[in-house]
Amino acid sequence: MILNSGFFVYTIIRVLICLIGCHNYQLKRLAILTLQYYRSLLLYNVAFTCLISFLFGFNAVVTNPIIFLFAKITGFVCAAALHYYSANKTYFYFRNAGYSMRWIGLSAFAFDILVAALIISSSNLIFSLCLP
Amino acid sequence: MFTLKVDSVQLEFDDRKILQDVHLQCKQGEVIGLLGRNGSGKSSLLKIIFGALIPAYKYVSINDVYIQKGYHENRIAYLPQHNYLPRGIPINKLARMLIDPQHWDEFSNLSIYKEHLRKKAEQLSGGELRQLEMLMILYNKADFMLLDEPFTHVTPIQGDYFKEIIKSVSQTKGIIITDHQYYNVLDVSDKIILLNDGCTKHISHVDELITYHYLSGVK
Repeated sequence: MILNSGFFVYTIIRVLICLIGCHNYQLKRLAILTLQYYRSLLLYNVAFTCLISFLFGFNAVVTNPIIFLFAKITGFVCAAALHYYSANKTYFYFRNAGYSMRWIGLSAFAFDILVAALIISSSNLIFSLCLP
Repeated sequence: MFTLKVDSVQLEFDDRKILQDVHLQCKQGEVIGLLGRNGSGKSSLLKIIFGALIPAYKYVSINDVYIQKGYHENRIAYLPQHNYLPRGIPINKLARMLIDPQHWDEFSNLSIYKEHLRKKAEQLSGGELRQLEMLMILYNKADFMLLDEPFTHVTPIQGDYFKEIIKSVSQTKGIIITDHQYYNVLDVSDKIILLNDGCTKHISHVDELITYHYLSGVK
């Protein structure tokens, strides 16, 4: 269990490093724009991830990907809808950068999954180490 | 040399025809002034060309190649009427995403940018923000620029400064501009198009604006 969680965290960190350090100009721009969009959803999504982890239990979230995905999709759609109602005028910034909001939203969702997986697996790792 | 063609745009809201017979063409090196009364569909037309609004029908092409979304691959840039820069992010980080790398040195030497590069959108005054947003569009790498009310909320001096930059940028880009300050639009435009009853009328003389009841004719 500890090994699995450790490997999961390691893989996520590797993916993040690859994304940040990538040499592809377009991919790098997409990554920066995604982070600029995602930063407004970050707090909401982190809070939601913690909430579902406590509601369903860390183990249930890790072992049952359907619960995890369903909860993440619901949370992300709510956060994105809230962002749409409060800041849809800023979508022209992303479009003027050459990207559709569908692309930005999809890549933000992928990033959200990574962040959630990182939170859950690192919490799981800490609990496994601390609890007998 | 690229040519932007817009043809057969049809847009309806609640069974009311907003745009029905729209044809326009803009070449690189040209400024097209788009005039029309409130609610005539000027902003909607620009959004349709940009790809942010989906009409019942449209044909938008660049060099006869149909384009679904104008903003895709930075073919067309659009300055909306409202502020569009996200809050909470420093101007220099936002500018990096919008400015053409080839023109970065020129843009980064502008005094307005140097003065505010570390500030965030919400820390700027309305006029300063509008000026920066306008410049970020004009220094974008897009081949065509759509400017929706660029002279609104700016001082006359800033307006003159915008006109100079528009003329300079239009040497290599195609620009479609709309504003209720028609004299500024007339100053910078090579061609004038009037949107009247959802149709485009190509204006060859200012007096035609009176004929179509856009201007009152009272001097």
